[in-house]
Amino acid sequence: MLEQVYALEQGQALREIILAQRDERVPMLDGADLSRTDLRKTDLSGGNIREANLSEANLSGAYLCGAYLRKTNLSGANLSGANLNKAVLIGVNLIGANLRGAYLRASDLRSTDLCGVNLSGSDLSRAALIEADLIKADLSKADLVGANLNRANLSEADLSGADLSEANLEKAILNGADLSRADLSRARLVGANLSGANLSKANLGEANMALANLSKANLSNVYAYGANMRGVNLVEANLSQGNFSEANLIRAYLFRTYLNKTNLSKTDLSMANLLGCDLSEANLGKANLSRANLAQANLRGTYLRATNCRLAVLQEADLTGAVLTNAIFIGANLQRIQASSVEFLDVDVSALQSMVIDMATAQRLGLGALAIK
Amino acid sequence: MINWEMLSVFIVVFVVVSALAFGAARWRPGDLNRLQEWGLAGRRFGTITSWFLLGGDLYTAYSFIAVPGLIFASGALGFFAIPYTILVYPIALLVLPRFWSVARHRGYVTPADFVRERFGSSGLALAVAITGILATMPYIALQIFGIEVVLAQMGVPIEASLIIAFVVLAAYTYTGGLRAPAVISVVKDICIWLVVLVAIIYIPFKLGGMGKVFEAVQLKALQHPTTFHASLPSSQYSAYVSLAIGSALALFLYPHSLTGVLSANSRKVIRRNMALLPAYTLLLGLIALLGYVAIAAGIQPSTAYQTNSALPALFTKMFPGWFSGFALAAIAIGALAPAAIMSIAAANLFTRNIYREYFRPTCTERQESNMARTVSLLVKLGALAFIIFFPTTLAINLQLLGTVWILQTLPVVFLGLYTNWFHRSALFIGLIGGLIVGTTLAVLQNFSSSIYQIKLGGFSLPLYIAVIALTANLVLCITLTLLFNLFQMRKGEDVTTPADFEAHPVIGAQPEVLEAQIERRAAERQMAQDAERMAAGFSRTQGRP
Repeated sequence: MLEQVYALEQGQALREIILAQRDERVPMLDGADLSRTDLRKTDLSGGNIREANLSEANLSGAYLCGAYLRKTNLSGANLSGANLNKAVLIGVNLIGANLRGAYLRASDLRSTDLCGVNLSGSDLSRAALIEADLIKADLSKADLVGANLNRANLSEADLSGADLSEANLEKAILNGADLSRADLSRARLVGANLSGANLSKANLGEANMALANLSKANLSNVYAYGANMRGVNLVEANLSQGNFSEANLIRAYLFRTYLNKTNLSKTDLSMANLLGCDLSEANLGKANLSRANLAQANLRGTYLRATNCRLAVLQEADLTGAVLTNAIFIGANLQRIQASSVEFLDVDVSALQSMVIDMATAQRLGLGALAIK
Repeated sequence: MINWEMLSVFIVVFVVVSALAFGAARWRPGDLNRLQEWGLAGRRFGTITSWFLLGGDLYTAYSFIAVPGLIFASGALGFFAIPYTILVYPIALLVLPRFWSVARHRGYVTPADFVRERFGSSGLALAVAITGILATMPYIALQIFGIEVVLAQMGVPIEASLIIAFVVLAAYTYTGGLRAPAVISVVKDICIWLVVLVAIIYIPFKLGGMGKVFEAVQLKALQHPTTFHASLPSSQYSAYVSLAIGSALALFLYPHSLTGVLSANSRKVIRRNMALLPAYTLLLGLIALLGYVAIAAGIQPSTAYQTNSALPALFTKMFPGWFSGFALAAIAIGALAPAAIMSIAAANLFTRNIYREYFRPTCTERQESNMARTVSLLVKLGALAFIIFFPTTLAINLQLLGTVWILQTLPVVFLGLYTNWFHRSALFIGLIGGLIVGTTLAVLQNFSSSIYQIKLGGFSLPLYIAVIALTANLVLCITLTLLFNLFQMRKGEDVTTPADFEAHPVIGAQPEVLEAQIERRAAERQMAQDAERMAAGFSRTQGRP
């Protein structure tokens, strides 16, 4: 096997670092061999360190601010607590590297392979991680505020407790990722794939998740106030006890979604598909369900005060014990719904105009006179 | 009529310099697909290269033409350029090492990059970038004008010659980036030093000594007592001082000056150069003196270029044709280097602070570098068109405004290096206010002078417009910051850290650990070699191959 030829041998490279520090200049270490060296708390800031070998080097607490490390081998390197703010790390090899508590603010990690890398607690705010490979990476409690993760692959990554507020996760892959307790407020997740992800207790306030895939995801206890979830796929997802108040769920796909005790007050669910979903004890007060498909949905004990259900399909839905005060059902399809006359006591007659209902159900609900054959 | 002897030497020098510039891309090689490499030469320049580059950058061909021209026309006032280029270095020594360090640590290529992160305001950074580009454009045009004055002296067709010079300049800047003007600067400075030393000894000797020169100056002062002063009258003291201070403060705010500074490889190089660059001031002083020599030589300025033609005309009149050609080539080369650096600086500003900030935030390094190359071409093309299609006075007027404008970035850039106390909105309003005040005063003067008479009752104080505008700017910055802080208006986030400004940012660094590793590696290598030698000896004694 041919031995790797380096532009600077180890002794030369170490001498270059000493001289650069003495002269207060930028170290020139392109293609240098610095493998297995002890570079703790060494100043390599702004350095040209392209295609160098820093494998298994100890760089803990090193100052690599603004360094150019493109295609450098950092496999097995100890970078814990290292300052890599604004460093260019495109194409680096970080397999087995320890980046715990590293500072990577505004660093450039585009298209970089970070699979399985330990980045827990690291500062990656405003970092460029476009198309980066972060499969199974440990990003727990990492600071990713304003980071650009466009098209990044974060499948099965641990992002629990991470701060992703204002981050760009457009078209990112987050299948099976752990985002529990993560802060995704004002984050951009348009077209992201979050199927099977764990988002329990995450903060999704004002996040833009339009057209995202959240099928089978766990969104229990999430805070998604004012989030844009237009057209999202929430098939078989768990949204129980979450707060989706004033969120936009227009044309969302909620087939068999679990929405038990979820706060959906003032939520826009118009044209959403809620076929067969469980909305028992959910709060849909003042929500917009116009043209929504709620057929076979479980609305037991659901709070529907002043809810707009114009032209909604509620066929075979279970409304037993639901609060329907001032709800609007104009043009709605109420055929074979399960409810009693008690639920419809507080519904104004004018709010039931043009509804579609079969005679048996209408008579059961005490609405025989309004039934349209 | 074309002077062929002069033109032949001129062409030879121009061709040699152009060939060197084209080869510059291979000098201290780096990946030119990176903006830091193309636009800052990878921050690789040491003391000597930086000295030549900054000298070529700051002491432009236009200053070689305009300073003796001003002294030829107005006398002592024109000497403000000497204290100005002395004062500038102590000021620069205070700010530039800090600027270099923060740029190194945070990868800044332009002053606007720094402003963006220091004050957390992309709007303020945009304002600084636009001001920088607008101030640089007429400066580039004036370099081309400098070449034009030289070409006119040789009697060649101006427009065609300018286009050839432009194409050559554009081509090597595009391919070599900042390395090309760095190479040219070395040649240019050697040529200029040679020409000026010869001129300041040879011409006064031919005219009967410096005594005769000053006699002629005295005579002119007596003949034109209102427009020409051999020594500075007391009424011009404040104008002289404010011109010197204002210009000194402005010089290193120009993007091309800061580009030159950022290409240095260390803080020490910056500090050393602040001590070494005044050598050029000596050169400028000698060139300025040639304005007086031109009076003694009885130079009649051309109608087209007026007093700007004084120095080229002096060379043509006093030197033999071949040396005149060499001297004029030195001035022309003196225009090429700063024009290239200025176009690179403007391109860096556009690419980093407009294109990347507002149009392609996710652009790749190659896209960024290509954009800068294209913009540098367009900037030069614009400057050329300006010189060809518009009257030169417009370029000169705009350059006058350019210095006024660029000085308004002082609170944001230079003061920002020491404090983030200022509120970003106050800085923005201050900058705009300074630009409005400066521009208005220049327009009120009808661009005839950069000095404005401040009148308060019976008291009159002539001051440099840029300084008046800067005062207004600072007043706005301070009062509005106090006001905004009082109303708790949200400040921008400063993402720089105090360590970013330091030469040695790491506390507890242990260079002895590195030394020990070098010794250990050497010992290990020695042991390995010894073992190899012993093994070879053992094999020989055993008779094995």
